[in-house]
Amino acid sequence: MIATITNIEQLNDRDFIFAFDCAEIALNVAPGQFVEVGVSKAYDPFLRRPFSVYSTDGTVIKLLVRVVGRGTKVMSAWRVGDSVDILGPFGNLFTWRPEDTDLILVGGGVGFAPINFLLDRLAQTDKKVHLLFSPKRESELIAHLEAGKNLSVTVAENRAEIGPLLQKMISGVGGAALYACGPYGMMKLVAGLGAENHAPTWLSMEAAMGCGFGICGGCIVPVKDGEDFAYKKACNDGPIFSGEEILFDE
Amino acid sequence: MSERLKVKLNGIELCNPVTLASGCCGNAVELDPHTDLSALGGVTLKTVTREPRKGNPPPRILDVHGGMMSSIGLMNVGIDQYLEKVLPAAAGVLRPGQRIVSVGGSVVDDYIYAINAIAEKYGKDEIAALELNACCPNVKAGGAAFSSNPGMVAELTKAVCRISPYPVIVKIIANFPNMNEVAKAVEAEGADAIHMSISPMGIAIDIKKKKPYFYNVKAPLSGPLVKPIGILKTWDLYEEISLPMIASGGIACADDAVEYMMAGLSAVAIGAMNYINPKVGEEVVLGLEKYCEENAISNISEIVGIAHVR
Repeated sequence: MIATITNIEQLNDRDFIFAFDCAEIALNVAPGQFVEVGVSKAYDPFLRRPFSVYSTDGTVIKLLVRVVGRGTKVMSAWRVGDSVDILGPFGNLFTWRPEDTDLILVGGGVGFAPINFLLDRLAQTDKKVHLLFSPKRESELIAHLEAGKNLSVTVAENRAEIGPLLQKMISGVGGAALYACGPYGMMKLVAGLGAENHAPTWLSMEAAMGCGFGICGGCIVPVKDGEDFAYKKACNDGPIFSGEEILFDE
Repeated sequence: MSERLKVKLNGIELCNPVTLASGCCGNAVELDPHTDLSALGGVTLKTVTREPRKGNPPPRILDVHGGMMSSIGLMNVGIDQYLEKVLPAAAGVLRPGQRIVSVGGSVVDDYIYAINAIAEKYGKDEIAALELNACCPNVKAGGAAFSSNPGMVAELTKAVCRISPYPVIVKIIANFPNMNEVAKAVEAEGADAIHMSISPMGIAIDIKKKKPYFYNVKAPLSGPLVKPIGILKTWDLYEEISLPMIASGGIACADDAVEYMMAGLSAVAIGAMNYINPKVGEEVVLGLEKYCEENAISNISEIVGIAHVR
């Protein structure tokens, strides 16, 4: 569907928050889901670019975009009022159990996008949310958050600090569920700590994606399958996977 | 559905010449929420093999200027689960006349096994055509693709045509210099149509890792950038055989389909464009309808190979 850019907020020299008026998606999307953004009508780049939804506001969806390659470079030149072809929402969603009173959310860099959307939705509940963000030098991504009765915010200087800080948070609350999105190494670490502490762990995984809705078989994620392994699709089977399920590289 | 788009490729009758290429439309059900599948002439499901296959390790997809590279590796659940789950689900969203099943294998017996299994459950009126994926490596020939060699493709085509209750399309890769000889072998052994996969091989290097991007090093190119190569292959082959031809190779709009048909195709197969525009198939059908109307064409087959007339 065609969406109009209503606002562009530049956070630093490479991170932007784009707001698109797109009721069909905004009114149906849930935290963890993603959209496929058409970047070029001239097929260069050819493939759409997938982005987890960062937040919604009425009929508007917001995407957190870091300029890292050809597609996002084209997007960095977009202006308010431009029309963009967006498909979605796609994928499964973050869910939480009624019995979990405390939830620990971990966001790494631009992987904070779906975590932000989850924070928004959890703010409408009585859950106690503990956010761990890394790295500190990218703190502008969480500058809008206000800690309060139901939200505590911890910032890790870098990845080396994530493990000790996360373990402390898990021990502190006891029985919390974990939710994470960020770089591969961070996800592996969170999955490991989740397993050690018997904490349900939900990870938003990333893979080079062709279509976004399950027809190309490109965006696979290796998962455990008994003694063997299998590939699941990040778009249809994910992007949210259980930490126990993912088969991480050694 | 208009009469003027109906096409006949020997024993295969399609309500229009627009099909979706195997491997580029999942097993139809994934695409169903995003487009009107009923508008299409045919949908070729993902290739099924005798045993399940995991497919290639990631990464499998790379965007390139004007198209993409992919290295998927025939990921599929194997014929048993295919018949239990995949084909019944696909049959739920496609009319019998739209269903094209694609079968692959490592040896001729694998193909025969899978086709016999399908034929036990689905009668000849329940499936429009069988596509033989002859692009698969033949393990008895050191892994060379069946369609790289006229003798190998002839053996496969002959064996399958003998037992298949469905009309047979043989899909070949158009990358080999002896492609015309391969196509002649397919024609001689009694196939109903030939499908050329226009997917020239390429290599991409991950410059950060200083190594090839794909595990298998080489990977096929697809998307709009390959269309001129596809038109060339179609052109050349049309002059060599009279077997109806289908090709997949960068078809992005109705004009592309018209161009390919004027070069010699009887039907087109849409591949990578489905990834970025899941409605492309129905848009091409509408565009062909409009083309016929504007050019007073009573049946689209009138334009097949028309550009060859001098």
